Amino acid sequence: MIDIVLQAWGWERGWALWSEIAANAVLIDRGSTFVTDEIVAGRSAVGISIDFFVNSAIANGASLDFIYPAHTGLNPAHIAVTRDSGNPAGAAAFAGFILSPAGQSLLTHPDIRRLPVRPDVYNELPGKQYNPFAAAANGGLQFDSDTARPRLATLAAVFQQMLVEPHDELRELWQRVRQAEAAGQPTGTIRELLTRPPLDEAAANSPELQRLIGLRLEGGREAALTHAELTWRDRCTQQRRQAAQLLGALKA
Amino acid sequence: MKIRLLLAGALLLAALPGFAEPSTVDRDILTRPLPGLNDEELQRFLRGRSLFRQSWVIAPASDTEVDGLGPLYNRIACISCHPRNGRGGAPSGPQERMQSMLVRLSVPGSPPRPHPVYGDQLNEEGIPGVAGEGRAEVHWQTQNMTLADGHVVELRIPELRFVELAYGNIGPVLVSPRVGPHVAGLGLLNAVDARTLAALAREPKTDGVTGQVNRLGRQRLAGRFGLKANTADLRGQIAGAFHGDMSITSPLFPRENCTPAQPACRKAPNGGQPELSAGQLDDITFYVAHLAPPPRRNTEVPEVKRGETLFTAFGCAACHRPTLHTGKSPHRLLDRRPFSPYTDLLLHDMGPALADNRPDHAASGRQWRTAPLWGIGMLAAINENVGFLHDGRARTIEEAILWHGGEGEAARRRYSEADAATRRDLIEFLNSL
Repeated sequence: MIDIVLQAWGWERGWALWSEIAANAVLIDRGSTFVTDEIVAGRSAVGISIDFFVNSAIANGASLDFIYPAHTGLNPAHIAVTRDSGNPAGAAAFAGFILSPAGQSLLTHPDIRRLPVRPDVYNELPGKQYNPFAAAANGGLQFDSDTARPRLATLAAVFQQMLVEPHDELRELWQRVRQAEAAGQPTGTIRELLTRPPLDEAAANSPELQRLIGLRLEGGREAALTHAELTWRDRCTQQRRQAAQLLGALKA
Repeated sequence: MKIRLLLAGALLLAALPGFAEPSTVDRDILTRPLPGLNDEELQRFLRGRSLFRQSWVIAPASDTEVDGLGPLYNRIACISCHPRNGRGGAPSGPQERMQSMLVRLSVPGSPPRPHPVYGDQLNEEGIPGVAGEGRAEVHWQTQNMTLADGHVVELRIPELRFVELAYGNIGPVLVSPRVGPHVAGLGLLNAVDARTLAALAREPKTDGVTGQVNRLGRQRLAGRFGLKANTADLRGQIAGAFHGDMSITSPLFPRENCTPAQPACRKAPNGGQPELSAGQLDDITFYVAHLAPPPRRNTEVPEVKRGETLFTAFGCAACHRPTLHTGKSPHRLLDRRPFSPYTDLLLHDMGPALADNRPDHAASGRQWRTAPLWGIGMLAAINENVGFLHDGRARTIEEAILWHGGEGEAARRRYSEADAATRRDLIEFLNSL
């Protein structure tokens, strides 16, 4: 999800957008509320989520709408028969059914609401169903998975150090930026400090860094921060400190 | 690594898009909290919700909080058998696996003694290296029942056959197939005082209805949960389900669910001791306890109002008590309040046709705890494969009524002798619950 924005907007502009979004957002922890609950309850106006969570909530009665952005990415699900399957013929028949029109149509059940992989299934679906094949034809699915996959954990770690850990501080700084701008004061340098990522894109794509960060899984054991992450944390802290000083000077 | 993935932006857009028409059926109606939880309680409720929806994983796993599934198990999550907190159903035939149903096993004795090889429940699945115990096929037989006005209702009766048994012949065994019930409102049932239950049992009733509190163990605790009321409280019921259905150990069930005849099961790695911590068990118990009971619907519709009168007149309300009161509860939202579960939580003889012939503590093989009827009208919208009665044999509410025997026989007879419009009114009332 992070990389969809970075690829569509470019590295610098993408992180700048994330910084502004994050500073205006409530972050949701695992084992906590759902994005859909927050919107339905009116505690937030807009949420960022994965389509099937929201589409399933809507199909089950939630008063919500879901909008696919003009640029998005697909994360395909897979089906496989294990090498040592005790019933390879049965498994193959099952996989065949899942990929058939009847099997793919099951994905539109209110509890599932995933996107079928067969173009022909979309012709049979009622209403205004998002069609990824049409979106791709319109150029909306230019997401480069080969670039995204190896840097997934790296981007998550940057997001954590730049936007999640200092979230409260970042929120407050951005509120002051907006107040200053409403008062007609210049904030160009401050914005630059609050939106600049702690590394450039070439560094994020470096295999050495990706190896260092490793594979981080949600719910995995808390790993000690790598040297790289400590550096990013310090760099972001320094930038926020400078931004705060400049904001203070504006006020004076 | 602490990852917070999703954002709920408080962005105020200049123009929000038009909202899509929501579905007319709120299929999440059984997942809402009781109104009035404070912020701290709501966070606890949400932690419990997360555990209730969690797909448990095989140990060892990188996610140490939710590992320990199996070695032998039925399904991988609470919501597998309680879909959207709703009710399960039975397979449509022998070729279909049990998805939200299980088979209890025992050898004669009270409380039920586990089968020496297969334990107290058939666990169809096993983790890699541990063979699942086998399958219980459901073969349906049908018979027709003709009502007084000539209307014919087809009823189906399950016959179980064990196949693919991995640990040898099962031999003589008592079996009882069970469908997962919906779980909303259970905190209120948990908070009914044992003295209230004893008083309900003592009340004189007509139509040969009696009612008995199941008594458990040396302390003779009053049973409330389980289809034969063989569990005293909600925490025990939840820990028992974790243990029996997923083989997740907890402070109440610290040992893995393996019999001495299952060495691979006994040697398999575990996900911690216990796998479900006391804190997690408390959170999920709080969650289930604070699920709001299903709200009544269409209470002003004439058919529903007439049906409500019939419900009492036919004698249904003698056991399916419309109103109970909770006693003292440590949870303020459950403390001393009236509620409408349509059960008395007592055991009743339901006749030979529904008997599982498997005694459980004080419950005989013909006795069942009165099923709470709240929410019954919504269950088919939440799970299209829902089945009523303990083993899911009834596909409709009408079929369920017609299976009543024993202490329910008089009520069933009045229903079957009523004309079609009267029967429809009663069903409409039940659909409003």
